[in-house]
Amino acid sequence: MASIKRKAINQMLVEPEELGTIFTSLYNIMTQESKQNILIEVFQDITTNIIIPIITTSAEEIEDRFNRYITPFQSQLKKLIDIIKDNRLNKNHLQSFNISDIENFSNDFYIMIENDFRNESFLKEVSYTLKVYNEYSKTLLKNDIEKPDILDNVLSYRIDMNDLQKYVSGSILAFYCILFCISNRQETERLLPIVLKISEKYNHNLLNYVKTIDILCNRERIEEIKELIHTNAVVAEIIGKSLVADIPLEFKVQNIGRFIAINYNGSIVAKSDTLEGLHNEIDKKGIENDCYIDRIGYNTIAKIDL
Amino acid sequence: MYNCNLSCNGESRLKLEITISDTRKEIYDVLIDTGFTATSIFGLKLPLEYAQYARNLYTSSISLADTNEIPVQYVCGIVTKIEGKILKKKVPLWTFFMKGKPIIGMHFLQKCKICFDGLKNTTSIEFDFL
Repeated sequence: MASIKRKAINQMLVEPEELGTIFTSLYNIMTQESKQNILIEVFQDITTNIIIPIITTSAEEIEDRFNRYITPFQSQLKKLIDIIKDNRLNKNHLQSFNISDIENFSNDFYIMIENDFRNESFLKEVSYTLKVYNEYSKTLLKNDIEKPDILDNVLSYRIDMNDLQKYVSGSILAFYCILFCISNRQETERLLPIVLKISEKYNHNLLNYVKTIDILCNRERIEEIKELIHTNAVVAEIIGKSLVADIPLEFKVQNIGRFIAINYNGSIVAKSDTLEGLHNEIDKKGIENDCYIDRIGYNTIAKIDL
Repeated sequence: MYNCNLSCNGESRLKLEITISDTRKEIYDVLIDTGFTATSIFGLKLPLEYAQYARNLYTSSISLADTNEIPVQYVCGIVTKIEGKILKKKVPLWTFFMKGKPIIGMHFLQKCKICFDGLKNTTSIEFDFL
């Protein structure tokens, strides 16, 4: 049973339980199986005002245009979710993803495009999208049940919710574009590889966010994402800022303006009045771990004139 | 001192060799940017893919001239060669990783004599080489 608190989850554009419905609706509309007129109207709006302008641009400009259309797409997505929430659709239709959904989708898509030479990269990306959505739903729902207060805190204060929602919407929009390309093969042949790449980028970032949220809710598992921290500045920053947020207030007050190095187990390994001094201290102590560097009371450690 | 002439076409670029952790890499077309000042500890910007050679990385937020605040990962690299010539004294340089072309700034340029000759459209750099 989901928790009753869910303040932050309720403010999300796409709640985990709604994702399955959106996905199913999208698929049914594209394959002309849906009889829900009200949904068809929303999807026609999306197609006319968002998908077609993206898909009809040049290959060089498509990614820029895609990024710019995420905000209008979010408004349309909200409309769609409102319809779902208003119970204008059968409530039983609400569903979240599970593995059999992924398999069913993949099978359906495979049948749909089995004679298409592009099916390998297409199916790979669809499977990846579904895997990411499955992780998104599973992680949020699991932590919502097991650690509702911590999840609420993480979503409200530890991550950039707008950024997360951008990746959720971007991923859904990319999937819609992929479907559109597949159902209008002649005109969009050249664009499919680009759309697949955009989709992969959004899904990859969304998956990183999901992993980060999970670790922020379950700190004892930090070792699992040490590699991701090492290779991804955004993830490293989210985790680092979260660790800094947990430093006792007394320490922060006593050290305001100072630079600190904190390792990803949450220990402060060095502090100094200057960034140079901080690194001298790190060297002196022979610390050989990835660290997050913070200046207490400041947003950034340096200004670079580039 | 050894004098190297660099190509100059409205902007000047050089080739350098840097050691990141234990990995030596040659970086081509590093833009010389005197506007990349020495007010912070950073002296070199490298494309993101070079971060993979660092054993340990520091992460933090920096602000750019356009006031954007972005997370970056950084490391102290050691510049060992310029234009294929071995430097007499290796230059440690705090290096951050960010998408885009490589750029070298004032922290490095303060260690050498550099001449931008606009009239002749040439740039020369003088260093103590081995």
